[in-house]
Amino acid sequence: MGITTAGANHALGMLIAESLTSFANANANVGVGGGAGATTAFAIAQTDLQGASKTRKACDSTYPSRAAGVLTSRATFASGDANYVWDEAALFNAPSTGVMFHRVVSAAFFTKNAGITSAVLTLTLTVTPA
Amino acid sequence: MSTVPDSGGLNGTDAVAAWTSEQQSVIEAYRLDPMQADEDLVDTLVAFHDRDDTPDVADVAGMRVEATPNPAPAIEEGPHLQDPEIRATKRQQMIDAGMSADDESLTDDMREILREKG
Repeated sequence: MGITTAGANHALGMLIAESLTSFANANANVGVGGGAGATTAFAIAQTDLQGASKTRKACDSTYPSRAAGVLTSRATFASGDANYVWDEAALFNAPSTGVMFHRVVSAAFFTKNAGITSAVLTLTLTVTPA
Repeated sequence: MSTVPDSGGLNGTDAVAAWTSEQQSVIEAYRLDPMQADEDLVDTLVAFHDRDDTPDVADVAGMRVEATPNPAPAIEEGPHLQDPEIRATKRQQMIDAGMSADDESLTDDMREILREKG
C-alpha cells in the first residue's frame, strides 16, 4: 500500500491552492481490479489499477472522510458490479482517468459474483508525519 | 510524509462466501419449471434456503469488504407445489437425498411433503 507520485504531487498542489480536482465526495471514486496484472506490486509511478478488469464506483455519501491522520474511503458495489476476483483497490478523483492517490494490493482478497447483493469496500490510508 | 498499513482484522485470504452462478441457475430453472429437476436440485435448494445471510467480511491492511449475499428466495412457495405430481416428484427427490420429515433444517413445506404418503 502506498501513495503514488501523482497523488503526492496532487496533494502538494492542493496545499497551495492550485486549480486541481479534489478528492471530495463529489469526485472521489474507489476502484477495484482483477485479472492479469492485478497482483502487480505497488509502485509509486503507477497511475491506474493494474488488472485487466477494472471497476470504479463513486464514493458513498460522506466519504472520503478524515479522522486524525486516517483517510477513509468507501464505495458500494452492487450485484452486477465488478464480478471477478479482486486483487487490488485504489482511490481516484474521477470515474475514469484522473489521479490515483493510493493503491492497495492483496492477491485474491475477495471474490465477487452475482450472488452478492452488495459489497461495501472501505479503504483506509494512514499518514504519519516523518 | 510516510504511510503505514492500518491493522487488518481477519486474514485476507478468507474468501467471502457467496452463491455461485451455477447454484442460482439451478434455483431459477426450478422456479421456471419445477418438473425439470436434476438430481442435485434438492441439495441446492436446501443449502440455498439454509444459508447464512449475514454479511461476510474480508479484511487486510488498508482494505476491507463487507459483502451481503442475495436474500434466500421463498423457494417453497408458489402454486406449483400444490400440484400432486410435483409434490410426489419432490418427495421422491428428497427421500433419495436421504432427507427425513424430522430434519429441522428443512422448511415446513418440505417436511410436510416428506410426511405425505407415496
